[in-house]
Amino acid sequence: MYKNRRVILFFIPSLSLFAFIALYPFGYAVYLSLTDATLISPTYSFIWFRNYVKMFLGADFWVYVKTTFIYSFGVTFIELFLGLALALALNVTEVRGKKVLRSLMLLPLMLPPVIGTLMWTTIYEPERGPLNFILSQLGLRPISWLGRPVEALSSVMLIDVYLFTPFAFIILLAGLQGISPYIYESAKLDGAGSWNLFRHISLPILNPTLMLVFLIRLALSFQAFETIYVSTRGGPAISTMTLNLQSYTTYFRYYHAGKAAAYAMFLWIIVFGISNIFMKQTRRT
Amino acid sequence: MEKKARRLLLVGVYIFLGLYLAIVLFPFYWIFITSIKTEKDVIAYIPKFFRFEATLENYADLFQIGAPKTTGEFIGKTPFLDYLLNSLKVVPAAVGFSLLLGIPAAYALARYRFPGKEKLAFFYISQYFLPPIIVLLPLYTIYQKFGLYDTYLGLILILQLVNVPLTILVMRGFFAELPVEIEESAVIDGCNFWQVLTKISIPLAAPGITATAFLTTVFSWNNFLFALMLVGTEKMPVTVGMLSFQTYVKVQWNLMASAAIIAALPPLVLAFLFQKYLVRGLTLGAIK
Repeated sequence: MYKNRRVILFFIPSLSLFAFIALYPFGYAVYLSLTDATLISPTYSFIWFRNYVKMFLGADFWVYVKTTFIYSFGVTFIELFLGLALALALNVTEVRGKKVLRSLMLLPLMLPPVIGTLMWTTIYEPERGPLNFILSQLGLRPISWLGRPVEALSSVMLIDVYLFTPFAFIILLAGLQGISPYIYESAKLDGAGSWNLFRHISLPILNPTLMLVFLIRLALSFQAFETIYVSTRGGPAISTMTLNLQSYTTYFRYYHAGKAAAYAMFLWIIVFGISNIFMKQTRRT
Repeated sequence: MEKKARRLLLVGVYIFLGLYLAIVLFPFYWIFITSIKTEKDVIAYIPKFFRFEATLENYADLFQIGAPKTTGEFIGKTPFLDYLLNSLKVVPAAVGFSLLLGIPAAYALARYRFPGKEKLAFFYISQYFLPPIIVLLPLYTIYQKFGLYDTYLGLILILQLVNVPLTILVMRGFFAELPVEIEESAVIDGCNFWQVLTKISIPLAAPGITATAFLTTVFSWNNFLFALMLVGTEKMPVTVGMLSFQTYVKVQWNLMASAAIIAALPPLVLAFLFQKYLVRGLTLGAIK
């Protein structure tokens, strides 16, 4: 470790840019959320917390909050479990073609989320899409994948799971491969079976990694955008409307800059809380 | 008994992996065959999985090569090539810029001790997690005031919001793994600080730089929200531009599919070429 007062010079270029693209606009957003500013009229007034009060009193707001929580906790848990299962499966000694399998399984993560969502939108097409065609061949009734509230939310969440399970998978696989084989060997000599090896060796060692993947995916899925914007735009009605998308819509469709900033602030505070836990967690490990 | 159970487990594992792989690959297959189907086959009431007439006419129409063969409101006026070129210009510039900004900061965070260091690291890294919409809303008007709206420069600058934290996250880990002793012996041999950095540390961290450049390229190419909010019609990158085939009236599936294939190729090809770095970069970024 070096010590030098001039170390600040290393940070000046990036910090000056961040002052312009992060700090200044953030302060501006806080201010905006306390005004009734719109994108149409140049004049506006300072209204203290009225945007927030109105937001908390609005019935729709709590629907957005609920949807956001269902979406992010839902996809995060599914991605974590599926990713862990896939990592364990690929870590089985006898499985062949691991490298090819891994490359193929990573494909969705590299895909621009917009395109991944478009792919699924074509598959979900109610009348001419392949998914309902397969259902009809199996003698099942077609499903309105994106056209009804409950189905739409699940279908959109499935797109998220498709895109981001590989993230959990790849990091957990690296974690599993980092466990020394000697630990398993000695446990096996003591007569431990596969389940016990997993339960009492892999899982405890993997625990901090699982926690990190959980927090990263939670923080990022709270602000999911493409998966919803491209497939349903928050509909039908408001059934897939999340805080992030509602903030965007309030700004660009209804031009209410102040209200949009209040939605964004609320979302920001939640995610800020999660990233604080994340930083504490990384320091511990 | 033990052996039989093991074989059963293996069969189960293969079935699980096979099913998952089928789900992973099917959307790619579907969008690909949609892109080489004729318009008639795309909108066929019974979807065609295998038997259809393969054609490149969608790609020709997408790039406006020859007389248009498909119909629809976009034919003959799709600026898809412009979108593609916009992305091809902006992404390398954004990646180079983030290396320039991020590497010095990552190096200092890995090598120096100073008060408030962890707070500073948190500031950078939290930018990667925090919802960008909070800064994008005000930046929409700020950019217009500064003449940055719908410009390459504006897009390159805002991409740093994610690229710089990512660079710092990955590069800090790489620098921390380099033994300090190498630098110290270079100093004893008479190298000044600048020579140590450019002749020793940065070349030794080259794999890290490759990993970082690869990850930031993919992130910048795939980015959607920044461009959606801060770029108009002129400098639209391909991820936003391809949505123009989706209107309220109808979706031009055949053109959109061929556009999707083209736009998805760069990150997918890079991922295959740099797979080793992908795993290293992502895990370093996530674990360290």
